[in-house]
Amino acid sequence: MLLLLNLVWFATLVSVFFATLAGRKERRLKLGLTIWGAMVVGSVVLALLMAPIS
Amino acid sequence: MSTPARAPGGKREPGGTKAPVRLDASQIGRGLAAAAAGWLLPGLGHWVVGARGKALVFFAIVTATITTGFALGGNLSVVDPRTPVISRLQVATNLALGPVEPVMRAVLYGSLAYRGDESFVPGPQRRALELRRARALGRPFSAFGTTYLLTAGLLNILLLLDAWDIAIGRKSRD
Repeated sequence: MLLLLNLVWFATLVSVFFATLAGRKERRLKLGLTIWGAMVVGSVVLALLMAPIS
Repeated sequence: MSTPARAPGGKREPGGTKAPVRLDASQIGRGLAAAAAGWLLPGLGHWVVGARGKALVFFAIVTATITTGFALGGNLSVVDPRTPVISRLQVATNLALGPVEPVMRAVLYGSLAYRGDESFVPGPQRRALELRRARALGRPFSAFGTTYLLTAGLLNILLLLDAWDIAIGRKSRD
């Protein structure tokens, strides 16, 4: 559970940072959500592939 | 006959390549001032160039990243002779956090320990390395904490470059 919390918190910090840094005002929210989703989903999928739940 | 001023970011030439940007002294001065301010305090570079909303967001994010790193028991890196290149890059990344980095290092380890080879390190440095090792013991997320601290440094390097770009007029402050 703590691992997942870490993942979500880290993804939040990084996605807000890059959305603010790179996004135009009107596209910021969409960019942030895309980065956040990609980080969280990508990490969980990769983790399941590397260590599948038996 | 005077040469026409180039557009910020460089003029696109017919071949598709970008012409090199010539910066005048005042642009370079503004860029360096913004980057230096950003190094002194995360987000201050953006504040100086007028992007104040962004400056507050960046300050909050970098501070939160550092705080999380410490809360998880993360360590600041030291130069390790076994991995000289990577460990030096890690130390440089830590130093990108600005003057707060040596302060944090001194508070955590009792001295400015930047070298990790105990065989020739005298007393205070050796003590610092022991404190550094003890900090990670019994903290399962210590490695995560170290990653947070490195991430904060990397984010701040990006902020310095972004503040430079805004200061020289290559990028808008929105």
